Amino acid sequence: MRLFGLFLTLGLAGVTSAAIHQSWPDWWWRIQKPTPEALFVHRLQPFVEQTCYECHDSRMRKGDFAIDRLSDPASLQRDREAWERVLQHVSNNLMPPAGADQPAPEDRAKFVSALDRALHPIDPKRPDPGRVVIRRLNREEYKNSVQDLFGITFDPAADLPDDDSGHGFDHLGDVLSLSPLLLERYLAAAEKIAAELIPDPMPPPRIFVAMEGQWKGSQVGPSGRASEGMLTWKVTTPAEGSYKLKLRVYEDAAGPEETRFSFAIGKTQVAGLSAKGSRKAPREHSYDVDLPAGAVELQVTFLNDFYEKETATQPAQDRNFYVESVKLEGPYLRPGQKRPQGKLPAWLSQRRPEEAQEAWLARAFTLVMRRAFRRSPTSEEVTRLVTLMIHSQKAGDSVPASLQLGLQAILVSPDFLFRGEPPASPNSGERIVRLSDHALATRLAYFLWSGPPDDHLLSLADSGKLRDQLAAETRRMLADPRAARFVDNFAGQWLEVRNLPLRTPDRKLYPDWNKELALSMKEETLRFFADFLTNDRPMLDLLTADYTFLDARLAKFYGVKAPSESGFSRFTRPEGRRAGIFNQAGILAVSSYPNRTSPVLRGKFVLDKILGTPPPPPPPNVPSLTERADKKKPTTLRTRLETHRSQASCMSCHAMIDPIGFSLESYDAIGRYRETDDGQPIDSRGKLTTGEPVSSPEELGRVLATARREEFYKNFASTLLTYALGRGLDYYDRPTVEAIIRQAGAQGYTLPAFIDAVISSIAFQYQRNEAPTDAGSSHAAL
Amino acid sequence: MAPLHRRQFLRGIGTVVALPFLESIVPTSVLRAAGSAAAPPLRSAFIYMPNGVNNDYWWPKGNDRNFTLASSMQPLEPYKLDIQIVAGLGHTKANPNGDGAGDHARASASFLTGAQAKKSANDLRLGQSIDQVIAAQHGAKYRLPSLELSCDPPRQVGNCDSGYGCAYSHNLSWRTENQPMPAERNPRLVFERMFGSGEIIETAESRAARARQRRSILDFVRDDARRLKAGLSRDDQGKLDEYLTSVREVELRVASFENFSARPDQSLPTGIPDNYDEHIRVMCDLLVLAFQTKSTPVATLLLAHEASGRTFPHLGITEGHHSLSHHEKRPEKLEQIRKIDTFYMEQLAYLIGKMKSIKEGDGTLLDHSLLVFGSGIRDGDRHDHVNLPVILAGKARGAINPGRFVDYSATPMSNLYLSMLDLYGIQAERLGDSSGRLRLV
Repeated sequence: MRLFGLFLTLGLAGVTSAAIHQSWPDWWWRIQKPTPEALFVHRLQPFVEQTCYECHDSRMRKGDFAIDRLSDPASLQRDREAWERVLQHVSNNLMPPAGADQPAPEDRAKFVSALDRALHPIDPKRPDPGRVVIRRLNREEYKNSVQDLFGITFDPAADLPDDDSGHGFDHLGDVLSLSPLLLERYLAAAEKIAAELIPDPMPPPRIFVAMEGQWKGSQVGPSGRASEGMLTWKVTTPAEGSYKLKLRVYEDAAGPEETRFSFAIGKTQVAGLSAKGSRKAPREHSYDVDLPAGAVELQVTFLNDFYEKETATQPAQDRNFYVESVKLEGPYLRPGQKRPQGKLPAWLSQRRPEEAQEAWLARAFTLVMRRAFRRSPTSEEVTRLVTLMIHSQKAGDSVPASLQLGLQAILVSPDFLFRGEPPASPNSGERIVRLSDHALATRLAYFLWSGPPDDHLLSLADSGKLRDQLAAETRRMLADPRAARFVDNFAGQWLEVRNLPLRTPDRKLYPDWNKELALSMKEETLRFFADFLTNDRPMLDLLTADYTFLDARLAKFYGVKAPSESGFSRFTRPEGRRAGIFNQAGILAVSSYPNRTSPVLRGKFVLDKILGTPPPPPPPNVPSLTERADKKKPTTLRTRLETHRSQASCMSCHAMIDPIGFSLESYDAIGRYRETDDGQPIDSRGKLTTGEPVSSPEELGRVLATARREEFYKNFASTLLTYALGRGLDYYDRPTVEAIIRQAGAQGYTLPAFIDAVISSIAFQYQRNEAPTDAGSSHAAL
Repeated sequence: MAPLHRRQFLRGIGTVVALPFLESIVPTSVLRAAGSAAAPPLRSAFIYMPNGVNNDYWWPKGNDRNFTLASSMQPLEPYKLDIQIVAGLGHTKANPNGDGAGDHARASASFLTGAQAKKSANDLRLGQSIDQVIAAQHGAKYRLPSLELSCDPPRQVGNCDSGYGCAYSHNLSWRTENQPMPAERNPRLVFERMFGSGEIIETAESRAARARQRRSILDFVRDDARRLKAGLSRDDQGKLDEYLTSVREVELRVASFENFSARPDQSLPTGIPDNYDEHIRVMCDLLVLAFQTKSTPVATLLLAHEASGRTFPHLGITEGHHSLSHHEKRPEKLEQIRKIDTFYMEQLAYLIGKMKSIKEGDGTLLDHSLLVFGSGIRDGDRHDHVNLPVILAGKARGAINPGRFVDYSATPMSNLYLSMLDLYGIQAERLGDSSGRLRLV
């Protein structure tokens, strides 16, 4: 996140190290005294002229970039992206390139700070809620929406392609694209869902094919074959009616008689048929048969097997009978059969006596659309949908088929698939506008339930009371079982334990690892996080808690007594193991390689995921670990890393990363406690750049929860806000994040307090009032 | 009693021995319907392996027609005269060019686009990939404009590469500069996409009814989307445009599905095989099937995403591929990379062999196709993008003379693509960072 990364890199560039660890100083945005223009003239331009012009003037244009297009204050707005790149490059020490004259560290720092202020002016009196791009439902949200709307546990989402992710989450509007493949899948999913929800008692005719593996009989070959015996095929018919049975058969003729067979299915029995046909040109026998709905068995019997051994005068005589394929086509209405009437699902309002079909459909589908679109549909929308269904009937579809079609149209509609957020008063002329109550209800529901708002939420939005009852409504939602999805999706992704079942640790080194264990580890962390929700726990406990949740499998893995015989129960850890997530196997495993631990990965995990200060990427052309002076001396990973760190270009970052990782070295790559590694005693001593010793998970947790608590809170608030909004944060979100921390702090920094603070934040409640653009803009692809 | 004549019909194709299954379930009528009359069209596939190779065991000894294959390429020995080993191609847009770390994301992003990925976790910007240029031009004549396949496991969460969105390292194919084409990794779904689903087949009548219903839904939602779009800001409209474009393309598919009525009687009853090599081979089978039935003019196959940390337990490799690729010149790591490279060459050999075994017109499917196999990184320890490991296979209808080791010395890989577009009769001035055309030999 740029928000915090910048401070880190500033620190590297030579500003006092305190700047790394303090919250952004107030003057950063409060004192806007130097205008962007003044900053440009006094700070930016002189630095640029002195430092960049040599290669990036209009003549040299190195890297195809001429900085002279950034020669006036207006370019800060006009050429914002170019300036952002300048900021990124200069602050990350990427420019000027190695070998070129370098500016003094303090000049670089001043330039970076000035450019940051000029590019990112923040006016606390004019807060900016940002704008969330229209978001399509991701796979998870799609599945949950179908489940919550229609009460079926049905997972067409398994057929949907992977969602792309960004900022560590898979539901960001910017990166969720909609490809033709995905739309095809949405159509297919809608067909499956509609067929399950509104069963058609007389579905359109299909062809049922006897598949390999379904045949039973004396000899079973490629697609079934009967020789001297009987073949059976079990098929499930969808409805009572007439079916066309098509048998393709052939024979090896031999002996005096024709090859004869019989078949029986349902009440139909036909005997004495002649097979005829050859392997190359099988003969098709076609019959109309009446069948009931449900399981039906077809029996095909070869009646007159014949075999004579070869003799002196003639070769062997072998009569055989083969069934090449069997197809059953139907159902069709029998002459005189009445089309059966199906039962409609409970969520669809029943037709009243005397009610015209159009009126009924409009009434029933208004309710469906309201829930699916998360707002009341307009009468025009309802009329169009009813027209679609009536047309379908006129084209020959049955009533259930036409209702299915209506439902499919809802499920493929952009109003269902996308979460648009119309503002409450778009034409007010205001710079920012409140979200409509329905948009707010939708944000809330997908934040806390990863699913659609329920009727209660929608009613509150309808009556305009949602904002009055926001706190109570949040409580209700968090107490609902659907809040478990928040834990899964937020904590599972933030702390990366969702990856556990996909991990493949070395089986030889870690024979105990298996999928069940991985799932238990994931569950431990998720239950632990869920406990913050249900028991109102302060977030710092994440780093220092003396308890966790274990099942028997994990207890065995940790070598402790299981707290209960079945399922997960709370477990109080022994002394020396009281470091919240840092004692959890799942966390330690996801930050390891498959065959060894990595202090670098673990250090980076903590810096990035817990403190929100990810180390900058390594500079280009890092010397590799092997290019060390003495190649003969045996070295441990630790000493090799220490050597690596002694190189100036590596030290600045690895001095931050590695000690954190070392403090967790007492746990192997699947998170099991160890005292030795490869025969060597574990050395878990570490020291943060700020001097605090960290030599165990407990010490690490304690130090982070005290000396680094501000960063922890800031990171947590930012991560939660990113998740709640479904967009990456930007510089203008800084005041929002600050406000969230303040508000949560007033209520003890508990998880529910953070959630409340996010929900009441300006970014969650408001959006920029951006005028709709002309629909025929250059973006239009059609 | 006589013995069973036919090849035993195997259950599922989750096992290696079962692989011939695919051929057997597509009736010859389909294969006949798909081809014959006119000259077979050119079909190309782009196959990607991540993390670079062990270069000591990759490059052949010798030159042009006199070369011997190095150790990693031994599996290709039977097909030595069917391949062209290419040196000297590179992707300068995979270099940082001022953007710092992130060579893996850039390597796969630039591989088929020749474009510089915008460094952002959520504001994706790249360029159209060559397969999508081909699809846009010729796709409408096929069941599928293009086919995107992947053998990667499900996505893991977390950030992908140094500030680049995960889309860059997981998608080879980009329909527009900001819309990746997600790849399918489930063989069953790939098959269904081409030929419809299930052991339950629609009658012609039902299929026509369903096509009508789908069209009416698409009409309906298009109107919805247009109305919705009118009130939106520009970024939102971009998302709705994606939707509308997809509606349009699916409509074409619905129409073409009716035209391509010939289809196999039976479906592919399988999901994703547990073993990686089986997964790759099933995907290769499907790729071949798609080409054989002329279902698509172009395909991409992502063997694993860039920077993949996949382990290869069946080769005794339990360290992740990416981590190994940072070999620090250590012999034991380099040896494991060589094994992985060899493994991928075995898969390529399988694909080449399969295509070569299929007669088409007066030659084979391989004669009328072009496979481009490669990695966007040369050496994983150096993250360099020059002199990439690239292998061409097939004759591309006579445009390529295989059986050679060719060095194009420091030429943009995009030049190859531009020349490939020529073969498709597509007039393009440039693709990505192309500086001209490659003189194909």
